[in-house]
Amino acid sequence: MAHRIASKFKAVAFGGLLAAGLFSSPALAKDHVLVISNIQFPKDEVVKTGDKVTWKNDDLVPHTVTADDGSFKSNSIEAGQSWTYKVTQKKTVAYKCDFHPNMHAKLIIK
Amino acid sequence: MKAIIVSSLFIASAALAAGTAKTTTTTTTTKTAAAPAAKAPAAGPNDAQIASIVVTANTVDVEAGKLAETKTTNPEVKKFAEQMVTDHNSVNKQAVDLVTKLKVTPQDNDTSKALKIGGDANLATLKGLTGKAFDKAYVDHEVAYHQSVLDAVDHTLIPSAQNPELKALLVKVRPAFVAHLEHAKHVQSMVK
Repeated sequence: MAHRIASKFKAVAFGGLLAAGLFSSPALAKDHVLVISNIQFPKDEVVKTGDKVTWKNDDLVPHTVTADDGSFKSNSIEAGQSWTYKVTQKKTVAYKCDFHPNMHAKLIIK
Repeated sequence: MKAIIVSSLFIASAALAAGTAKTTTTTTTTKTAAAPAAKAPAAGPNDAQIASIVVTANTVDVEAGKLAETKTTNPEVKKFAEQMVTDHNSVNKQAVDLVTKLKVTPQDNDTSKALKIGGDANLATLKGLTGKAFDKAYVDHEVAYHQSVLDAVDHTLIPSAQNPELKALLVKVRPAFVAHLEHAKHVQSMVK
């Protein structure tokens, strides 16, 4: 009997933890994949702190992802390669490609 | 000096416009010769020739860019030249990877040969220039060259390519040439 009560208690406790995790903690971090193609970044992307943003270079030429405020900067992302950045601070950041002056976009971090 | 640059570009442009090796047209004489003989459609380059044209066009611009990197003291021109070397080398790598995969051996043709001759003439001219004269000549040539290449990509290379992957590569490279042309025009406005 004691064993059965203990098991029931554990189940209830686990359920409570699960519910707390689902309903009271911050939203789960998301992965965003932004495909660079036609010598253009995708349109401005809205993300949340903790999210990961991956830029995938689908062009035939290298690019960089360089924040205007210096908060992030990739190395050269070769054709077919990717670069990932985990966002940490709420703000709107304009970024560009160092190689191609016409390439600009924004990351809106909420 | 300008005439030399223009003539070297003319060689390349004419070659790109022609877009292929010499086409042999066979005409047949018939008894009913009243109607004008229909011209055989000009044959475009085959895939092996297109591969050679693409690699040569990129190589020519890489060589000009490398020269500019060493000669210019203008930061904007230097940055543009570095971009040309990086981008055209990258495009060439993808092109070579693709034709290797497709087992296509690039085939020299009148267009690729003329591109090489035009590129060499441009280099010879640029080597004799310094300072602002060099910057202007290099950038002017880049503007005209990218316009010619874009025209060739649109009107000759893409329509002629038979292999879907080769055609897709040409379509995919086009935005880079457009961006280069815009960048070159921007730099041109700064080195007048």
